[in-house]
Amino acid sequence: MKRTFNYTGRQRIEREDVSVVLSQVDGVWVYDATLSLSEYNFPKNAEIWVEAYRQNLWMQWAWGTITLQRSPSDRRLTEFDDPEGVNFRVRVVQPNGPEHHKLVGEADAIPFVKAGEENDRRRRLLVTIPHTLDQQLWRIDFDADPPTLLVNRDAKPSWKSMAQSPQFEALVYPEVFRRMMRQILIENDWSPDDDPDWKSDWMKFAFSLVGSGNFPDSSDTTGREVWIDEAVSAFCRKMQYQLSWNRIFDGDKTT
Amino acid sequence: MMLRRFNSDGMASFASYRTSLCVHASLPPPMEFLTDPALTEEIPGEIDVPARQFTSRLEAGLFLNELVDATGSTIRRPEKDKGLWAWLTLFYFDEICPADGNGNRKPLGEERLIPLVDNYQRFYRHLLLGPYLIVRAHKSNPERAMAMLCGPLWKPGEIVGQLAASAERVTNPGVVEMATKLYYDPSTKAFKRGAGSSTKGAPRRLAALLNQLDVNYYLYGMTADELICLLPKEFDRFRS
Repeated sequence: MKRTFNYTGRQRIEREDVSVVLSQVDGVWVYDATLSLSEYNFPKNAEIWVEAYRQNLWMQWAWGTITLQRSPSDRRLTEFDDPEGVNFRVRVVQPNGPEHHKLVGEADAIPFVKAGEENDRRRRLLVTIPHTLDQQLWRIDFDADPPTLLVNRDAKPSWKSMAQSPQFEALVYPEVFRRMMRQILIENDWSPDDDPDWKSDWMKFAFSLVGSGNFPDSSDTTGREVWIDEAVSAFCRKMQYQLSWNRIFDGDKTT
Repeated sequence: MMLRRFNSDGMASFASYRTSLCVHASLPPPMEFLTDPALTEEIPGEIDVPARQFTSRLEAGLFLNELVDATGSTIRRPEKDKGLWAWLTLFYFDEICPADGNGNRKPLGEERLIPLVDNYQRFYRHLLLGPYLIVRAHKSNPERAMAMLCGPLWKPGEIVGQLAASAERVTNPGVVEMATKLYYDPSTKAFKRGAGSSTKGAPRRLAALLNQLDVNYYLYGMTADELICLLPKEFDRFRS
């Protein structure tokens, strides 16, 4: 049974109707958006707002109305040092009159593509963001929506190199996967009937590893713990972390 | 004294003083750091920083905005300049971390004195950067943010904790003015009774409620009065 209902009348704007492309102009990241909203039956003079956000950083721009879209002249992402992990949101707002300010349409968690890169329109499962972490090398930020993997921005040779190194992936990713599963299945009590969001993306991935046949009910916490263990094992098998670790070790020995 | 900023050694030395102060509460602030060429660097423009007192966070926020504006374009992103904020923190240390009658100081959380500019969960708690950013966000009418600026420099208050963490909330004129209308009493120039508590209608509830309203409404387009109309009965005690 579906556990959430939309009583608001707000329409979900489909992902394929919004695309955001980032490019660099004089060292500053600038976005451009293409919004295809004419088929949605929104009020003609409904206002369109585009927002960019990551954690508690946030910017917004007015994009005119449904019939008169206006790309703002200044679309620089000045609040963000690095665009990594920035998501976009499009909101369509009821204009003057009854129910003024009410949201009539929304598209959330829209990822960007960089100019020249292919847009596969898929939400990334895990966004990695550089962060000040003192002596910690990584941490999952569950307060962010969706949760993000914070990586120490001061790590050498660079935070990105560390996060993409096979050693980091082999040691950290299984634990990240386990914590995500615990957050979704134990803390958030996820059910297959919930609305699609970042949790269902992760579950889709987990089901691709172990199947959904023996998925325990939310009342069976012990069963879910066991299921998470199996999913983590399957994840590590798929990624072949032990073999990859040995390869690194053998490579180190020969150099 | 001419405005300067700490370099990385200066930041480390100041952080070390703060740590020592947690153990030895009477340790005097190391004012000699402020002009030490090994710990600081000049900020071009020879901006004079006056020794002064601040009666409120609003006064400090206004002053700091004037000070930063006076540097022109020499500081590209002042909100990210941790050396600047740490230097100013030491310069105004008696205002920020005043000594009691016995000469003891309570530095409390690290983020109050050390600007954690890259920590999105704690940067706004810095006792100088916080009021600077709030005033900057409401430059046309800083008084609308009195609920976050009326306290003394060293005591930001519960509303700051609940609203200032989110750029989306703290820059929203309607939300900020609503908080002021609810929790600030202009006749006493202080918080209304109960504004710092965690009971019904208190700031913590307001922050949670705003997250719910955000699902259905475009809050940024709404005035304080329109927002107040959406609040449930539990806020009645603060409406007057």
